[in-house]
Amino acid sequence: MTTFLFWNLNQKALQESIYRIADVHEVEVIVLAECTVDPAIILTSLNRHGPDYHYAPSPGCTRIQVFTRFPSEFMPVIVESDRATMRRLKTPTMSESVIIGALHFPSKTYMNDFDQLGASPNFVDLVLQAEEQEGHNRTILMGDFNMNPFDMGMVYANGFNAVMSRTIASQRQRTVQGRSYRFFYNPMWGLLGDSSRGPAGTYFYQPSNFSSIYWHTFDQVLIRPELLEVFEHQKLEILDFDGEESLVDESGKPDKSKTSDHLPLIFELNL
Amino acid sequence: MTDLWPENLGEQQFDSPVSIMREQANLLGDKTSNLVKAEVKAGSMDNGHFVYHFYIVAPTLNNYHFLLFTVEHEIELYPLEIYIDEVLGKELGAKEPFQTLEEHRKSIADLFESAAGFRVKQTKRLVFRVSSTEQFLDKLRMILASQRVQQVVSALLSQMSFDEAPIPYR
Repeated sequence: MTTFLFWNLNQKALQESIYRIADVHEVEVIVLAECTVDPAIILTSLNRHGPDYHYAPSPGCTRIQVFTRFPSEFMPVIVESDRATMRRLKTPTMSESVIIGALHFPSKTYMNDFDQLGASPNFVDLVLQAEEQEGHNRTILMGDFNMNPFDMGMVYANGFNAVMSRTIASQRQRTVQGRSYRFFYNPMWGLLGDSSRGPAGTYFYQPSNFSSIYWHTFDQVLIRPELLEVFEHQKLEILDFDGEESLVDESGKPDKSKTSDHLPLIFELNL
Repeated sequence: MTDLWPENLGEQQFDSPVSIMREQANLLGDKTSNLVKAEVKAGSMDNGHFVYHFYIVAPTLNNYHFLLFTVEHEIELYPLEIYIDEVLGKELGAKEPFQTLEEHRKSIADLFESAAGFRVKQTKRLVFRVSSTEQFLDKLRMILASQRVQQVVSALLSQMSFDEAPIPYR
């Protein structure tokens, strides 16, 4: 089993929480967005009991930081932009490599739904470029998508094309007007609202407008059909506790005064 | 059958944006002994627009690809849009000179405010809009001469300067 942690830190110094989550859940790959803490400080925190973790730097991506429990040579970058990093993961214990992608999609604060829809194909092109280079579609994509699973950019065929059903995703692709688009499976649909085993979303926002859904599931993991067998839905979780301290306040919302405004996401792959 | 096609069909030929991008991409390899190259790849067409991505590539570093910018245009080629990231946009000041497009986007944002109730402040998808080959060459010159490109190319070349044996898996 390989355990992954994704967390948008909201530029907070949360290395203690990261250490505790990594320790409690035996995380092997830590992916951080909005991380303004020096990687050396995070490594020092993670490696307080020994040299367990490695920093896996990016030449060009400034938005995502990656730490691994195995040497970073086993997870080299293959495709990047400023906001996304696509890496090949192949350790000696794995029979075949997979592509691990992470992104920080532009915020709804700066883009409306239509701009997000327009931007999503460019992010998907990075995935397609990585898959073309690697010669397979065994891809996992995680990150702060700044969209909910039901937003247009997530479900649009030319966007992430991420569906709620394993059965549909297993069809591999759909054809729209003569052109094929590969599916992602989006298990986050199963964690929306009170269906979630933990908090009702990863981000809470309560505007004074007429329209508000309060909880948002911006932090997501998408799985290509080729990896459905190694993904265990029961191990996908939105965390509200780092093993020692709560990440939410008394009302159950992310405790922005102490921690990030996003809650971390944890999942496992049987690689 | 009568030939209805005009005599001068195709006479007016000029460099398309993608051919200019490819020419520039081919030049990078010469400057770095092919250690760092550039590639232009067609992207996913969106709403009938042609999309081209310009990547900086390090063939010996796991064929590393870095997306530097994206060009989108319609069948008429111009005007076209060059999308760049925030780091490059900040360096080149992409936001200030293009208020018209910003205002256009803001007006759309105000019309179609998200159902989730988020107020759109401004777009962060930084863009240059150019209306001629000359303007396109000018912007391309700015991008390729940027510190961002220097930083990425230097980072890639420096990683090739040492050959570290992989550490055994524990």
